[in-house]
Amino acid sequence: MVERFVSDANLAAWWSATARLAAGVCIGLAAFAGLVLIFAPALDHGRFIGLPFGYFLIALATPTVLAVAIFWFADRQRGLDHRYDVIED
Amino acid sequence: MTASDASGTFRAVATLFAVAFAAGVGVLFLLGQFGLTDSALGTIFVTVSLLTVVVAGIGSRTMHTVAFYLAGRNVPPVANGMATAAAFMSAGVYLGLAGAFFTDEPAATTFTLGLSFGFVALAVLFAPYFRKSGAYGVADFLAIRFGGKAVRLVAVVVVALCLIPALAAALAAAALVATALLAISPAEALTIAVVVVLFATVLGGMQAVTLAGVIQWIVMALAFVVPVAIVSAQAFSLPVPELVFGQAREQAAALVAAVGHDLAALAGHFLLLAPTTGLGRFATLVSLAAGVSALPHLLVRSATVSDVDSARWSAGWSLLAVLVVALTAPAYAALARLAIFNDVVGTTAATLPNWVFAFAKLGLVRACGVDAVSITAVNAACHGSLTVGAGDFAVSGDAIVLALPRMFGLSYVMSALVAVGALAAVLAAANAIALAVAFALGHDLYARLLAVRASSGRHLAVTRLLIVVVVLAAAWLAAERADDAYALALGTISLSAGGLFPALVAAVWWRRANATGAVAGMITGFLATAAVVAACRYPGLAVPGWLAPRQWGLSELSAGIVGLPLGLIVIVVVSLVTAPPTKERLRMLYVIRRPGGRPLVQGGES
Repeated sequence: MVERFVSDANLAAWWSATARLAAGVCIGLAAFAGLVLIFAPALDHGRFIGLPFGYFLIALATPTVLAVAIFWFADRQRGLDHRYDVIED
Repeated sequence: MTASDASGTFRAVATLFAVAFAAGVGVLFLLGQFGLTDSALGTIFVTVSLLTVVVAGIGSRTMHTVAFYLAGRNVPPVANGMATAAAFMSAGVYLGLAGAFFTDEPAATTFTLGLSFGFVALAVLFAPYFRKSGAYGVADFLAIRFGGKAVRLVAVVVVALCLIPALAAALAAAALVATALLAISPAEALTIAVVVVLFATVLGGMQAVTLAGVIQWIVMALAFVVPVAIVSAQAFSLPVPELVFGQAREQAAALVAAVGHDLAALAGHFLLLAPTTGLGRFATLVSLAAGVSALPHLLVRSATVSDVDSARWSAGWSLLAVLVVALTAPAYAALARLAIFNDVVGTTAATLPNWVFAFAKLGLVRACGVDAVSITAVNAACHGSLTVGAGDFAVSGDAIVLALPRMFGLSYVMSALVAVGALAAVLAAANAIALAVAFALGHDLYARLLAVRASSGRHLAVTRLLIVVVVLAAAWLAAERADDAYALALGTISLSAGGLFPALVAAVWWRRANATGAVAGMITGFLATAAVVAACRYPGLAVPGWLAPRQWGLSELSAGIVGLPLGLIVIVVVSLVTAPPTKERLRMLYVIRRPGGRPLVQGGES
C-alpha cells in the first residue's frame, strides 16, 4: 500500500463532493421512501404478483431499491476517490 | 494472509460448507424415510450444527491482537456481509418478522424499511470512516476522534448497557428453540447455548466469529428459504414464495371474509411491534435507521475488511443477506394464515392438526383463551362447542416460522431444518454481541484506561475472561428475566440511536464537534432514550399521564426518536460553547476521512 501526496485543495474538493453525494443519497432515498409511504394506500387498487401494488412497493420493492442504492453509492464514491486520487494503491 | 488469499479461503469454506450442509440434510431425510425417529433426527441435526460452530471457533484460535479483534482486517466484503447479516438478525428478524407480518403488516413493513435504511446509513455515514480509523469498537473510534478518557469511558458504558439485554434475549431465544427441538429442559438448553457461544468467541475472537457467522448465515438462509419454497411449490406450483404469497394472502383474506372475523390475537416475544400510524411510524423508521447504523456489533464488522472501499460494498452485501430472510418473511405469514383457515378454523377439537398441540405446549397456540395442549383442554375451554371458530383461536407470531413445515405436512427434517436455522441466527447474534461488549470492556476499559502498561498478551487474556463474564451475566438475565430481555432487546436499537448515533455523526461529519460535546450528547441521548424505553416497558413507573410514551405512539423500538435529536442538539450546543478541537484532533479527523493510507490504529496501538 503506497500513501500518496495529495494536496489540501484536492482533499477539500474531494470531501466536498463526498459530502454532497452522501447528503444526496440520504435525502433522495428518504424522499423516495416517504413518497412511497404516502402514496402506497392510493396505489393499492392496482395489483402486482397478486399483491396490492402499494403493499408490494413498501414490503418488497423499496427494501430492494435501498440495497441496490448502497451498491450504486459505493460505485459512485469509488469513482470520486479515483477522480480526486485519494485512494490507496 | 493477503486479502486475495482470504477471499479464496472464505469462498472455499462457504462453498464446501453449503454443499456439505445440503448433502447432510438429504442424508437425514433419507434416514427419516428408513425409520430413524424424529427425536434422533433432531438430535443429530442440532449436534452437528452446533459442533460445526464449535470447530470453527477452535480452528480459528489466535494469539494475534488484530486477528482476535478484527479478524486480521482482510475479510472479503461478501463474507463480511454474510457475517454482518448473521450478527444482526437474531430471533427478532428470523422468527419475529414473519410473526409480525402475521399479526400486524403495517408495523412489519415499517420494520423492514427501517432496518434497510439502517444499512444505507451504515454504508454512507460510518462504515468507511470506521474502517479507516482501524478502531476495535465504537468506544475506540470515538476516543480516537475526540481524544480524552471521558469519551471512551462513557461510550463503554453506553455500549455495554445497550447490548447486554440483546445478548440475554438471544440466549433466551436459543434456549427456547433448543427446548422446542430437543427433549431437554430450558436450563439444559441455555447451558448448551452458553457453551457454544463461549467456544465460538473466547479462543478466536472476531476471526472465529467471522468464520462461524458465514457458516451460520448459510444455514439460516437455506433453512429459511427451502421449506417455504417447497410449500410454495406444493400449494402454488412455483417454488418462489415471494411471487406466490400474494395469492395465499388473497385466499386467506377471502376465508376471513367468509368466516366473518380474523384470528384472536396472541402477542409474541421475539419482535413485539407496537401498532404504528402517523407519528409512531415515522418515529419507528427514524429510530430503526439510526439505531441499526450505529449498532456496535455491526459497526465493528466494518473494520474487518481490507480497505475503505470494501467497507462500503460490505454494507450492501449485508443488507442483501438480511433481505434474503426479510423479503421471504411475508410469505411465511400469508401461507400460515391460509393453512390455519383451511385446516383449523371450523374443525372440531378432535380433528385439530398435531402441530396445534405441539406448539400449544410451548404457550404459542391458544383456543378459547387457554393453551390448546390437548383435545380435552380445547373441549373444556370452548364449553363443548362443536367447531373451533376463528375468533377463538390464536397463534403467536413466534410460532409461524417454526410451525409452517408442519402446517403443510412436510417431513420432520424440514421442521428441524427451520429450527436449526433459528438456532444459528440467535447464536450468531449472541457471538457478535458478546464480542462487542467484551471488546469495549477489555480493550477500552481495561487496556486503554485501567492497565495501559500491561502487555498485549495480558490485554487479550483479560478480554477473553471478560467474554466469559459477559456471557454468563447475560445467561443469568435470560434465565431469570427472559420477558424483560426480549422487550429491552428492542430498546437496544433505540439506545443505539439515542446514545451513539449523534456522537458518531458528529465525529465524522462535523469538525467543530469536540470531546465535551460528545460526552454530553451521549449521556443526554442515552438517558432520554432509556427513560422512554423504561416507561414503555414498565407502565407502572411514576410518569405523568401526558408524558406516557405509549400515548404518543412511542414504543421500545421507536424511543430513539426522543434521544437522537436531544443528543444532537446537546453535542452542537456544548461543542460551540466550549473550546474547539485541537489541531491534533482535527488531524485525526482528516486522516479518518481520507480513504488512502493505513488505519490509524495498527496492531492495537492508537
